[in-house]
Amino acid sequence: MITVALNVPSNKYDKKDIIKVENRYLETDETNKLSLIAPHATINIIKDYKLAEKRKIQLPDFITGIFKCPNLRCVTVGENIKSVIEVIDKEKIILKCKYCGRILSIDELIF
Amino acid sequence: MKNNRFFNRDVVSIKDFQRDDLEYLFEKTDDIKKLNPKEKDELGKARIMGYLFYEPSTRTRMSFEAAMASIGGSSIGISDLKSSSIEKGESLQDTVRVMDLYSDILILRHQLDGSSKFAAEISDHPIINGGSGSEEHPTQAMLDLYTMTKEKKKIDGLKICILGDLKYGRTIYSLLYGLSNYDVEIILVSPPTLQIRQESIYGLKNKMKIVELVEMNEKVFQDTDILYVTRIQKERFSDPQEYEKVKGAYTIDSNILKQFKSDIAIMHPLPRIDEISQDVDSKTNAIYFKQASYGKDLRSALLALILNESPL
Repeated sequence: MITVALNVPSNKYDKKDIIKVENRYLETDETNKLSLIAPHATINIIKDYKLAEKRKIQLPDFITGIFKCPNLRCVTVGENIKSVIEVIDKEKIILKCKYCGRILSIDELIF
Repeated sequence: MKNNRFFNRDVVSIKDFQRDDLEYLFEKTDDIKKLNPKEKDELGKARIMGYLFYEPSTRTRMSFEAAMASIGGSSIGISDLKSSSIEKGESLQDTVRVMDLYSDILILRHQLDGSSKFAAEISDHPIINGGSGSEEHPTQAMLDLYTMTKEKKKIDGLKICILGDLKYGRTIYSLLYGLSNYDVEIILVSPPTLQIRQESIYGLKNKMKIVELVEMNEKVFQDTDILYVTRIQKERFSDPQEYEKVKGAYTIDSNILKQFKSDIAIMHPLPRIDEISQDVDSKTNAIYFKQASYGKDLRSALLALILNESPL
């Protein structure tokens, strides 16, 4: 079950949104992928009603198989190959398709 | 020869090669050219070059075949897709894997960007990118740079004007990446709809001076040492009407040539359509056929260096 809460009071940010995912342990690789859409998110792993782990997310060096390269002439699109997007600048979030070399912004990525 | 920088190496992008790699290649091209036929034959003896050309090619395929023959090797390959299993729908992956079984080195030309990078990952033998989409054509850039060193004796200090379809012409991108190893000034001239793809020259403007124009001006005529002309890449236009709008947008003829410096060198990766008039061919400035000839020499050396740890 997934529960979404919006505009929950936050001591640090005044307001925050929460997404609760039940019965699913998210590996670090998985949570790091969230950094593209929510770079300041925090991951709390709850086990037996207690906080078992608190995790700050980090952009990975490569994002494999999640997004499609928006370049329709890219071999990953034309030959239906798993995409590999390289994060070349973690501060400005500049991405590059490992295969066609196209420099990409987050807005261009296709799920 | 010790420390052969090219032995068993893929040539996917010219970005993978630094200035000293390129200069090493040019030096070995000269050395290998001087060998007698018997010595040359030893470099490719009993070796097979496989080629997969998913797009039409004259010079690249023929010069690679001639280059392999000149070092005593042989070639097998596909250039007519209709006579292969690609026509039946075989994937690039499977075709490369099979060709890899029969060859010591593979040349791939494919319409998709990144195709050579992918092929290099799945092939056990080295891959040479013979042109991938509108992305790169690294051996063309290598031979272009070699031509400049032969004809102008140096690359540093040159002012190079690149004219034509800068949006789709893959040779341009490889040439610019290659030239970024040198101290050069670049003037890019193209019709407004065919200007360079900014995302594909990310970081290059920090490495060298690049000026972008939509037409030649007096300063270009006065300053340019090399005019590199490219054709409009008709096959890469998704809308034929867009092609019709820019078709014949520029032509270098002997009258225009008079406006340039007398020793300007005119280069072109060929094929030419109408962007250089045939009346320029007889001028000493026209070096595009020499350029094609240097291509065979350079590709012979490249094959020899990749296939042999100590070719000389």
